[in-house]
Amino acid sequence: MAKPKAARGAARYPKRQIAPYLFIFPFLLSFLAFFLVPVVYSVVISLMKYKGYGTMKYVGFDNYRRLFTYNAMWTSLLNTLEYFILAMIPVMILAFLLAVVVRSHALTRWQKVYKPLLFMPQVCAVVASSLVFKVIFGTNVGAINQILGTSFNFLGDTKLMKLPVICMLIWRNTGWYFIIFLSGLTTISDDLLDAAKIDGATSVQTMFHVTIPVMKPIFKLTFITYAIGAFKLYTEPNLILSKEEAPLSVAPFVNMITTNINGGSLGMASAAGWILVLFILALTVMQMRMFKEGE
Amino acid sequence: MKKLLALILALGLLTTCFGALAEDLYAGEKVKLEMAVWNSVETYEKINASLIERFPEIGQKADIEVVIEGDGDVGVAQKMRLLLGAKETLPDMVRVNYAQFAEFASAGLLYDLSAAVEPYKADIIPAVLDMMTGEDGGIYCLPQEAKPKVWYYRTDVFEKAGVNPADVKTMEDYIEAGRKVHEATGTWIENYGTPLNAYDLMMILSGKDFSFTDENGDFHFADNEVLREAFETLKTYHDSGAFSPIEEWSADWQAAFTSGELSSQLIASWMKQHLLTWAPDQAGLWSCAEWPEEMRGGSDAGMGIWIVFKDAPHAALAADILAKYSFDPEFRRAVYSINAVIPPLLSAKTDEFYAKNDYFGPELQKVYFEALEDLKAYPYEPTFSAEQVIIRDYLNDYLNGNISLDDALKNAEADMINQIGNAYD
Repeated sequence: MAKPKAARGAARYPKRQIAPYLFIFPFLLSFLAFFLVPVVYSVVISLMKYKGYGTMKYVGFDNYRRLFTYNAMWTSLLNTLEYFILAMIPVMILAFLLAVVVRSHALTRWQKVYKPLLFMPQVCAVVASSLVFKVIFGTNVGAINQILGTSFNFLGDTKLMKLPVICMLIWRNTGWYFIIFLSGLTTISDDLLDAAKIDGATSVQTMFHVTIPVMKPIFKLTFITYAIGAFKLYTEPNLILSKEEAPLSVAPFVNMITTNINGGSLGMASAAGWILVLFILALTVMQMRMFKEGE
Repeated sequence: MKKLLALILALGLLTTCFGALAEDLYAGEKVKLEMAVWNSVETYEKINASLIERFPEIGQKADIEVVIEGDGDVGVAQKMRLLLGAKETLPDMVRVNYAQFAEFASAGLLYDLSAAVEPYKADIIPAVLDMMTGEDGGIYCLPQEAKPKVWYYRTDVFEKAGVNPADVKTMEDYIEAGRKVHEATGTWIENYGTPLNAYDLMMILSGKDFSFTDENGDFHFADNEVLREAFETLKTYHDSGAFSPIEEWSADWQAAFTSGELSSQLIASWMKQHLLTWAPDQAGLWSCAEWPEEMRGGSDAGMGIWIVFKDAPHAALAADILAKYSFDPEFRRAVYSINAVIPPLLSAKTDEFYAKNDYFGPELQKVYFEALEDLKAYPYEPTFSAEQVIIRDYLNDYLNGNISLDDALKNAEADMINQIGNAYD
């Protein structure tokens, strides 16, 4: 049977067959060295009792069992969900409304001023911003208490401690999602909006029946990326609420990893890392299903 | 006679060998030494400049680079674990606290500093030397600062309130003194705002022969009377209304010293460095005393220490430099001028140089050495870093009234068993 033409070419010119693999080889090498090997190594460590030095002792799934029966792990998971939901809702609403206002040409002047101002919190170093928020929410020296004439213990009362963190997350993330929503809105054709106008749709009707449905893929992207980022929350609560690591009652899930590294238990830290991966995966699948049902 | 001659000859040879060995450390080309610390490099750089002035051979042999490896002792220890785990180059000199010593020492990772310390050994305060010594008799850490419990207070405020620290002997006296000072001056003598730090608890426990584990490393403490009393003491302070609700290391804490709102602090010797920075215009108004009689003994984390890892690139040189750094009497005077840290040396106890202090007055030297006599560290287990996170959380839950004492201790024990298993395993 005659060989296909392409196969005959490859046989005649073996270099052509190797060339594509040579092009992707640098990527494959770095993927292997910096992703695949560490991932596999981390799975292995999660089944060991290991300090990071000295000998490893195989303990099977004991690290996972210990974590799943540790109340603080579930508390930290709930804390992360609280930080995620209570910050995400205002961030998304604020960012979207700001983007709509800017896109609607209602605010055509001073764009060069307020756009960078809105985005600036993203550029500010997170450590510096956290320390500033720590001062803003101080009981005696804090601006909030001084303005209100109160003495709320935002940084010490477990009922209030999450508030400064949520405020900072809103302040920090709104500008970023504003830019994403604004770029999404610019993809909506003016013709479509004009057609809705000619059909007699009010601004609110246009928003709910044209803008939001068209923006659905953008919402999907932002919700998923926000959720992944939210589950990796670490710096803000730890810097605002403590000198080193936030108390476990208000700590995010990532503290399960760092506390175990601090405690010299790398096996447990790796197991906590993999539990985090599973939670993020479950949340992403849930979100994708929700959007699919909506469609 | 022949035997005596042979002995003298042998001793001479040995001395020459040791001398040559020490000299060899400073021979050859210049090297870079890394000094790992936390928070800020400024003070260390000043001290290192003085060190080179005192020992020019160090400057000729080494460039000492101070690097920040964390925002606290826990952060530095974590960085070391990661470096050890990744088999990366370790810093030559590492500053941690005694609380982390057991973990690295028990794993056999530390360089034996005995030879470098030998010339100074006789002058070191015995309690400190004891803490520096490992189970095999080798010396594995050097004191950056011994941290006995010291009570810092404002003399003008206490005088106005009619409080004499020497008359405060019990917990009740202390609470009463707090009330008196607040009524008379509007200032607070202490703050017990939550979250409290683990060291608040450990300062009480370290003086009382308490350990979270039994001799086998198993956790047994839920029904321990010493721990129960320590929790209750802190709860009494927290709820008494005699102390400020400010929490330590918050922006309010520093501001309260600067403004004079806090006029005293029952803490460890290290607090003086912060007072010097936070309230420089209160020089001459502060003094210090030993803790109330009933609460004496123990320390906060024993002492700040220097360690050298066996696998550090220039371990022998680092050990020699750190021994000079820690114990050379003349150099330590220069250090005292920079950060007011008094060396734990017998010779410093009677050295009039340390009696001169514009900020705290002559009491600083006297009280420091008196308190050093009671210096005692908690018997840190290799897993103490993990233990303190768990116990601190339950302590704060108990102080805030979220959990009963019985449940706090029972749950803390269960969590330590669950998360750590055995402290020596």
